[in-house]
Amino acid sequence: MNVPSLLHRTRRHFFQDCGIGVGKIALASLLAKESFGASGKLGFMRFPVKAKRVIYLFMAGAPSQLELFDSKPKLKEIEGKPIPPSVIKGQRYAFIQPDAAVLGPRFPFAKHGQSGAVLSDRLPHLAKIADDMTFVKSMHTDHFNHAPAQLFMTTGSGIPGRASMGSWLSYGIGSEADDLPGFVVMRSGGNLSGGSAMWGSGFLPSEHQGVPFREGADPILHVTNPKGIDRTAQRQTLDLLSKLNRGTHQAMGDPEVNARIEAYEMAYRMQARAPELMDFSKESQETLDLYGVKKGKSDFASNCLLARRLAERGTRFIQLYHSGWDAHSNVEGNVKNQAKQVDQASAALVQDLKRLGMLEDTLVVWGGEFGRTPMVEASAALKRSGGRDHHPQAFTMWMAGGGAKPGITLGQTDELGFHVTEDPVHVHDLQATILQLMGIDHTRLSFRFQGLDFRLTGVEPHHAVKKLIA
Amino acid sequence: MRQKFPALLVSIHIFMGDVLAEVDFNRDVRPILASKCFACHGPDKESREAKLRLDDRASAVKKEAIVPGKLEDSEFHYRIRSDDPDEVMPPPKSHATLTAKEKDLLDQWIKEGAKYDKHWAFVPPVALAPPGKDSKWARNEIDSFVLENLEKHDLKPSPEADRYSLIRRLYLDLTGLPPTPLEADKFVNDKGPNAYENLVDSLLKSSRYGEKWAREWLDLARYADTNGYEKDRPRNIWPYRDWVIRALNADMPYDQFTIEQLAGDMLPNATNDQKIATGFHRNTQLNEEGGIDPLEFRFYAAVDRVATTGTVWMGLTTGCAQCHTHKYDPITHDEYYGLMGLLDNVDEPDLLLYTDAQTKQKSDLEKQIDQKIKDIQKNNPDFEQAFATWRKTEEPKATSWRTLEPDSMKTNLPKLEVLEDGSIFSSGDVTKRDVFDLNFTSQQAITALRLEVLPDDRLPNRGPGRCYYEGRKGDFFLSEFSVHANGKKQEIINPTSTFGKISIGGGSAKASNVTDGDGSSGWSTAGQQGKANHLILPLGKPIPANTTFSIQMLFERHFVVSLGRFRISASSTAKQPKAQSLGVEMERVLSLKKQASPMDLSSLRSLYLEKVYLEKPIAQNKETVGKSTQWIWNAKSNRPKETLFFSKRFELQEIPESAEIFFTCDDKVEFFLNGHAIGSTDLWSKPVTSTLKKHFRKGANFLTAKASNQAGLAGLIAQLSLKSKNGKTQRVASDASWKFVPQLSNSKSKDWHTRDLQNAQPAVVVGKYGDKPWGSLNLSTQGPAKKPNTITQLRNRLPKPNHTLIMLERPKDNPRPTKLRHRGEYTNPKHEVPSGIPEIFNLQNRNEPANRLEFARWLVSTDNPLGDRVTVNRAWRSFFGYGLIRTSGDFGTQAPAPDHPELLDWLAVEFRKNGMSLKKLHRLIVTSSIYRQSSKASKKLLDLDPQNRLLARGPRFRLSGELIRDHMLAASGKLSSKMFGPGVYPPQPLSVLAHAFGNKGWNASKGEDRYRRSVYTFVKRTAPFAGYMTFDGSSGENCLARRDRSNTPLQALTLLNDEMFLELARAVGKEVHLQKKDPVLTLFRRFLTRPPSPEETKTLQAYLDQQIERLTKGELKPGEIAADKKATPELAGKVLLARAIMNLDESITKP
Repeated sequence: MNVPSLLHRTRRHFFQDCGIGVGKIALASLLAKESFGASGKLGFMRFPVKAKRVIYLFMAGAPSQLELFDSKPKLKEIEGKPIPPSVIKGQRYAFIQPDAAVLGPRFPFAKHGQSGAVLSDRLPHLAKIADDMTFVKSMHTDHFNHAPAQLFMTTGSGIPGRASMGSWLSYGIGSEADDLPGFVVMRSGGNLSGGSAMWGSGFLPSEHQGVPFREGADPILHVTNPKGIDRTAQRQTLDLLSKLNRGTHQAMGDPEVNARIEAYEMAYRMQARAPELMDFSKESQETLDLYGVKKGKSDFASNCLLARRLAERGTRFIQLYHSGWDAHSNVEGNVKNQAKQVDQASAALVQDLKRLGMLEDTLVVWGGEFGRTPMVEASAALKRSGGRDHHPQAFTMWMAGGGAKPGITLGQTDELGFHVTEDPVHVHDLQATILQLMGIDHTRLSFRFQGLDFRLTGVEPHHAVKKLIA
Repeated sequence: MRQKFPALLVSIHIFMGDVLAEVDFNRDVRPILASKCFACHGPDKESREAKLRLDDRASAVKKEAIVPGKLEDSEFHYRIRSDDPDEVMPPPKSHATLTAKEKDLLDQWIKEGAKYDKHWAFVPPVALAPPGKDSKWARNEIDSFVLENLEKHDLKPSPEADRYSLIRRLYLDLTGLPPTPLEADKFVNDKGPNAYENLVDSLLKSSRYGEKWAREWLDLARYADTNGYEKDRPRNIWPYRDWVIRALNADMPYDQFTIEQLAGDMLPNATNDQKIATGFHRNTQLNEEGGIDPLEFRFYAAVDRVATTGTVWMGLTTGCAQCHTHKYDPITHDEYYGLMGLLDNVDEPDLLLYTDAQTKQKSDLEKQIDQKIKDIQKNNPDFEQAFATWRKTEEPKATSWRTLEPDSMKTNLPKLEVLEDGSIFSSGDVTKRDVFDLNFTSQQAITALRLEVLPDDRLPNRGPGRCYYEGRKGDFFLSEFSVHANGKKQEIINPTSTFGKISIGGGSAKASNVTDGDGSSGWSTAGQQGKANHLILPLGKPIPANTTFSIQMLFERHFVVSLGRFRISASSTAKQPKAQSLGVEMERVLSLKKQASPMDLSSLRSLYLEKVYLEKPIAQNKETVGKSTQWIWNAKSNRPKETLFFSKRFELQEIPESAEIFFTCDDKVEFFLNGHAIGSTDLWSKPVTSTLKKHFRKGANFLTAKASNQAGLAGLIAQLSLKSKNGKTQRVASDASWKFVPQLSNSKSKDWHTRDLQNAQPAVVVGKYGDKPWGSLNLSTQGPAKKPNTITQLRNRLPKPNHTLIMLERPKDNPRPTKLRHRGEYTNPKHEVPSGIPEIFNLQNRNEPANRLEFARWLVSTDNPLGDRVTVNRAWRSFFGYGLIRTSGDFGTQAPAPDHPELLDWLAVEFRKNGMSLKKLHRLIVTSSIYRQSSKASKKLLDLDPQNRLLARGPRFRLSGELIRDHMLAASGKLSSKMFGPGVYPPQPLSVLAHAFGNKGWNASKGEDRYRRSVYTFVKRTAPFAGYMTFDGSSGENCLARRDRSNTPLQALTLLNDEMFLELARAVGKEVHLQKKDPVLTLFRRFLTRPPSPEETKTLQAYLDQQIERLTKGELKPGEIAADKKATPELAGKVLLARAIMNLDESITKP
């Protein structure tokens, strides 16, 4: 679905120049909207457009970087001993006491590809595409609880109610699809902490909010006709509505009436498009096997394939949430199980985009909301053992395609994996980087709401990370 | 005075292309300075450059940046026109470059004397006499103001709307519902001179008025029925919502309406209603995620309260000043926290609410209980003897306890106070790790200590604990209990408790956990909220008489688990005492022995009667758990956050005579027999044992379970024992023959046990019954539900009070200090800030409000120049779609100037003159000629004034999501008029909830509740009702001063295909069919009020015929469309017609 963005509203020809690709149809009435960003006239498109769309694989619950990406042999050495107080000074924790003992890494690590990227043996598929990936080992965040940290990652604020990254993009540059939503959300795994606020539009016009895809026959709410109503009946109804609404427009002159007629037509197109989108029967067995898609099963793998299909059809921002990484107990079992669910399909998505020639302008982002402690979590009352607590000070994310510099690893942590020691990347920096890859200056994409100029990356100074950009 | 807004209608002038004759500071200069200069040369000291302020004339003149009247002497002039990138202002890197026009304007301003004016919004409104227009058209002052302006623009008002439009507009605006065709006709045919005014008056009196306007107020109050954030659990605050509806219907004066919501608890002799009203600021979100810092999220709630108060009553955005001094509006960083201080000196308890009927019921029942106790004693000749015998055996066993009062008490944060009965009550802030440190001196030697945990109405869920999130409300968790005397830790041996259970995670709750030195284990009485229990702690060695000793209690978990009320007692007994399950009162009287007074004895008799005499043990005829019954799961390792579906098929030759099931699961399970729910438990140590009678069938039977585990090892155990008529027993026990699936193919299906069986895998045996970590479950106390004795039965009938969330001013001796937070970060506290109102408000004699109540009074006083303007502006927006000032929540210096400033001020003054009556304000607006205009927009008007800011036509807007549903309910005849009470659940697709944490589903209401007004719909923050959200509804996360009005394909899909609307189309289609009414005319008028034109009738009739033809031919199935097997093509056609009409633009639009 294509909703009017700033780009549509102002200089339509602009996109041809800047190459972002623009929606084919805009709702006329919505071209005149009340609020414009303080930046006003597209001043935010200040960088070359490297990514036209984003597929964001959000690993909700926070995967353990110490079991997947950040190899810390030192932890093995001092396993069972507490971390020096100087290291943990002043930190707050969700569950454990700061004097909890160190837990060694549960899996062996090895170097992969030309780039020599280090990965644990739980990620055999990603290991194969290591040279396409861009690792950031020096991520850090402001929040140490799931909901606030997930919201922070997706909306730039820990409090529910702000505009999400996808809605910012929809607002700023719109979508290329006129028969599918421009911002789609999918889910697999367990419970999701941040909730619908993670794809809300906050203060931005509400048509920019993400559209959650539902399981079952009705992926977009009500996209399927009610039982008994066939496509002909729907068409005849729309023809009737269109005719009578045109009469209303003639009588009242209200441009909103025309917009409504258009909206109904777009809805009708969406009804035709949705089943085609969901139908995997045209995908080759090879592709299905690459992702590990099992017939009739809705999971992370099928969501990844669906994400690629949405990307092909013009959706701007596709966010996949895969929950279940919250390893307060038995981090070993957790990582084993979770990695098995996402490793293959994550790698397949990158490979598939690459072979379709879409990787160069599709940015894939992978990561959780924070990291996990080098210390062990155990509790009698909670029957927990061998877990790791929340750790906002350091964690790892990776990107691929869309102008992210392939085959590099940015940043380092100390020998305990506790603090970042090199090239720290704050969540707002990462958000600024993603926007910059899409051509946007994060300081200029702003929205005036209740007297303040809001932006995704907050008011404190943050910067796109140049070292991450190809 | 008219100079205050020279040249009128600032923004309109601009778009009308007028040229400015004279520069006006507020209109022309301040917006430029504010957006391009103040960031570095404004009120914020921290970011101020070159020590220059341009927001303050004296300062700018003193620094000679601006020399009034002398352009050449003004540095400012040179800087803005410089070519040198190092000189020019604003600096190029700020991207705030001035346009040539702006530079000219600023120069002109300096030449004209660089006059500064106070921002108009901070000058109190004054009502100017409306222009004395000699016009028959103008009905009231509103019209005069608007007309004068229209004439200036050579425009005329639009003609009055037709009567059908008028009545529909009035109904929708005042009550949120459409008129019935009958009501519409009556009005249309009423030629009386006051027909319109009479209609207005009757609508203002309707109960529907309060429901409609409450929904708008609830947007501001960010009302929701859940806590928000991750868990988003339900909360009980609907009494607040009902209070709003009642207050609006009663036309409570707006000052009272305000004061009660902000500070009702502080009014003298505050009533329950006044306390309920303070729920306004309890609508903030509550993060219940495990491991949070509760005080951090309390701070975020306080931030929200300041922002909301600013938006609702001050028209000011305060948000900026949370982090630093406001760049534009003159609120400093310190002043922001001064405002927070006014609002934040509060505790946040629940208020128990007994209705009058409940209070009476309670007192009646209590009398009955007393009487019954007396009667039983009288009517049972053996009672006295039994009592005496019992007393004789019990007395020697009873221990004598005496209450200890501490010499001193210390805690990390909560405030402790000793109550009259010697118990200790905790209030104030609590954390994840609370430590109580109590010092005592006892004149007698002490051999044992007793800790009673006690209920209290002021505590969450009546206590005894203070847990209010994540865990069970009212729970506590005592991690460690230690005693020190003579500088040494005293040994505690064999502690015992009356009850122990842990919520969240399970695990043992045995008394000795409090002395094991492990902070992660402890004692808790989960599930016994509102009840007393105790812990007995015998000492290894007595503490000698007259020794000072101390008790430390540590309460620590990943959420707040402090105790709320408790009492410490000591004994000098030589025996090692044990916890008394019959309670402390019985032991007290028993221990008095001969010293017991008649009153003591009477109390003991009553207790004995109820707890012993009437509790005759019943024979336990229990099946034991067999050896072959095993713990099963999908694997034998830690299985965090996992849900599995188990299934066991068994054959029955005949329906059993009797059957008994035992089951439990680590952590929770629901069991089903052939798809019928038969029981559940959410704690492995709380197994279910019950008898089954129904749902068996001959042949294949399925026992199924939905089981889930939080963390650690998981296991499910079950045993079904079936006795046939001939006495044979058949057992179905959990073992490797059970099957499981991790996910259902269709989560809604009830017969998944047969459908999904082919995909099921064999269960894995985790251990046999009795194995660790679960051990032998204590089943003996879990006998089949025994009928409670007659007294208990009466007690069970005692009414359960409702509760609601309220604010309570903190006691004088425990105020909460407010600290400035650097960069707005909770973790970065700086100096303490005194409470107060920002300087800009220029208080008379700086008569500073000292607390929340005075602040509330100040907000609605004339000392607040913004309050009345914000209120009338909001009302205006509701009727006309836009406020007189467009940014409804922001009147600050950055906000655009109002469209009709004199009208805004006149309305503000008039509002106050009319006793701050919202109904009078609404009446004033809707009885104006401006409001009655036709909303037809000519090409000319659309080009000239697309947003209708000049008001040359009537308002025409799509209804909100809630009102669309209400409208459809009313027009289809299904609307329930039931008011008030807990939130209800209109139908919506279950998939809406699929993304919500711990998806509990959406159990759609049945009967009347399904069709109630949308203001009563349960608001779940993380999965708000989809039908409203698609139409820009509010999820109650933030104070919302202005809703969007988008127009999207998803809205079309909802109106076309949502079952909720289809259900109504079916109802009304069927009604029209059965009553043999003209379908086109009837349905059209139900939904659009006006009659259709002949052309419209023809078109609709053609559609109806077309559909009936297809239905008759069998191309469409009538039964499916009408959801009624017996439906005829004619009936189904009318359903389709109704559905089509409901989708017309006019159906969802205020005309």
